[in-house]
Amino acid sequence: MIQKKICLLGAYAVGKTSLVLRFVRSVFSESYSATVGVRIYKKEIGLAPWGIKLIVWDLAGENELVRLRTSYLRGCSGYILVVDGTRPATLEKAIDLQRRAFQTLGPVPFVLVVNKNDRRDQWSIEAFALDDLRESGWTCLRTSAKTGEGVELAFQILAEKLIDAHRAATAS
Amino acid sequence: MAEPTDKPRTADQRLIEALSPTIQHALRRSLRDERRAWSEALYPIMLPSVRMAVWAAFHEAVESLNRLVEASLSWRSWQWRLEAWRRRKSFAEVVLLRTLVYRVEQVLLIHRETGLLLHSVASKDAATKDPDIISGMLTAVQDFVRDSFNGGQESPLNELRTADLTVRIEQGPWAVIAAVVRGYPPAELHATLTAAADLVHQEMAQELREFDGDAGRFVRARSILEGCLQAAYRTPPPSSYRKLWVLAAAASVLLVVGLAMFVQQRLRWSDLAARLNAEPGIVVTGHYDSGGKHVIEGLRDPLAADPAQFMADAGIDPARAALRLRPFVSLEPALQLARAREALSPPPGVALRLEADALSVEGAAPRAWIRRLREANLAALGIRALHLASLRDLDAETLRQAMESEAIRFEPGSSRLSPQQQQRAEKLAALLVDWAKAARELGRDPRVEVVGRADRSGDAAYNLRVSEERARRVRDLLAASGLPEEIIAINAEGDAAARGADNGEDAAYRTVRIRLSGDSAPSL
Ligand SMILES: Nc1nc2c(ncn2[C@@H]2O[C@H](COP(=O)(O)OP(=O)(O)OP(=O)(O)O)[C@@H](O)[C@H]2O)c(=O)[nH]1
Ligand SMILES: [Mg+2]
Repeated sequence: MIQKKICLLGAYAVGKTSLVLRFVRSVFSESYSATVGVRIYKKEIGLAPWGIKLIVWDLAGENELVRLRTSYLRGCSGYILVVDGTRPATLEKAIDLQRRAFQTLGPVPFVLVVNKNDRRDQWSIEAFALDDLRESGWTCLRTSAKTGEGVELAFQILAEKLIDAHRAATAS
Repeated sequence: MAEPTDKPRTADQRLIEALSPTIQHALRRSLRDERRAWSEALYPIMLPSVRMAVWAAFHEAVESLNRLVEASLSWRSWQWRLEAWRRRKSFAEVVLLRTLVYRVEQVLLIHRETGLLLHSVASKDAATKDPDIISGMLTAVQDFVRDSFNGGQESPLNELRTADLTVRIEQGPWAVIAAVVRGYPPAELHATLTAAADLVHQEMAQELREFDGDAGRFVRARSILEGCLQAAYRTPPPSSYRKLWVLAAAASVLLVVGLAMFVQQRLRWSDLAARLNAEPGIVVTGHYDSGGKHVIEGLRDPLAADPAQFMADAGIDPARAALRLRPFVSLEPALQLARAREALSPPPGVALRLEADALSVEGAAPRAWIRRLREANLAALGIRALHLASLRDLDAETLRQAMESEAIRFEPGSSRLSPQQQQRAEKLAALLVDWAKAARELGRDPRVEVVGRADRSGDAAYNLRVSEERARRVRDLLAASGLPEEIIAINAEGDAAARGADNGEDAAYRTVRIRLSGDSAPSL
């Protein structure tokens, strides 16, 4: 089984840690404790020889004081950009982070998720805001770490992309 | 796009924003003292092993040390005993803590660029943590130190330390060797690790350069890493003459109480005989003094408790006793159970219970062991019935998770299987057949639900039809591969999952997945 390092990127408190915990341990907590530095998790999906072991680096979110340590991105095969659907500025942050991740990693696969989909009453990201991104080839989906909606799918889609990229690289 | 400032914030968000600078500040302050920062970053890794290690990790070593130290009536050993009593630890644990010089518990070979684990070895019985995670954490700490302390130059970090664990790190151009050491490693360990790192780079240069996530090629590093699993213990130092007067004083006190103890001894023998007799599998037929020893006669099932332990518990010197217990086979339930346990050697996580000749097996076991259990000659053990309702098949559970996370994919509007997806489905089918067979062997009622889905590119009726065709296609393949047809059901979900999503046209919705049930025990 091959293993790949992936990262979660996004503004602070968008739900990066919550998404990983939902994915890896099927749990969710309402209480917030900011990630300091980085925490690492792992999960295997699928069956060998198609299966893959994901080593997930959950990075501290960016705010005015903490900036992303691009050194944590080294050797990363793909990433998930996380946006909080109730805070429009987190989408801009995600786009900015993607640009910087691209500078460090080049064109590796990634997926953008708009999280907290269970709070549609407080939703403030316009539906069309993602259309431009989709047109330029981004994969965007909605998730909720709270209900679990879309979480598995997001990681699975990224995993499939990683496997495709891996095959393409070994074939050449 | 709107800034968050022009919409009202929730109390949570305000709190989060207020706290963030504090957290940053705390982090920065902790960096002033490098060592503290490192050990904080490593704390989550180390803590569980620190807690568990003392008596779980080294009991082989403790065993021999214990005998050695108990035999010598040194002042130190009494100090240790006192300490053990005060700290509510066993004497052996304290001895271990005081005599261990160092032991390499785990050696990891880590790919430098990605922080992925290439291979790892651990010393026997060491309480180690998941090496994949340690590997990542160590790499993260290195990255962090590199950024924070020397402006992006090569890392100088070659040692991390907590209260009693040290991590020695040896950097190579492509890979890093890390040794997790309990106690204080000697300087020579550094040379061993350097040599190991050199060797790995020499022997596996090409594999290291080409590493793309497949760690399978690095099993060859095993023997090199095992060479780093070293340990040393210190024997307790000789007792100090200055403390001899204490021993002399103790001796005279012993003399005074000697007489009282003699009387007590007589009572102890009777008590011991009674307690042995009450023990399942031991029958005492008589006890008397003979030739300066106390003779205890009777019968003992070889699987019954060890009488020596009873003597130790009663504070009786085994040299003063002569046990004449002839072997016999006891039919008491406790002995019957012990015999079953010995014959079946249940894996950890499995409990055996015996009630009226019926054996209940509970917990989770690997499939191979369950098969052996089914084939065992239980009648020979005096067992008439076997209850497996609370036994879970570990392999089936792992397999089940993996199978449920598989998806067979289709081209838009098509229910045809591409050669690659066909192969994928066949592999899944083979595993399902196996899974269903194992579940039936345990008397369960396995069910396979084949769930077809479509993206939302057509209208709802069309999508429903496509999803059903897909599910049928896979169902037929499963049945043709030998999965009993009566346990398969199909479920066409159409575009239900895709409809609510932004990316409803995505390939992720053109799938067939399976849902499994009926393999676990009915909950009581
Ligand atoms: N309602 C709802 N709350 C969520 C969801 N995901 C996360 N949260 C909450 O949002 C808060 C922040 O979540 P975290 O997962 O810690 O956020 P993070 O992105 O890891 O934050 P940093 O580590 O600071 O970067 C917590 O209070 C979570 O309970 C979600 O899907 N729905
Ligand atoms: Mg976090």
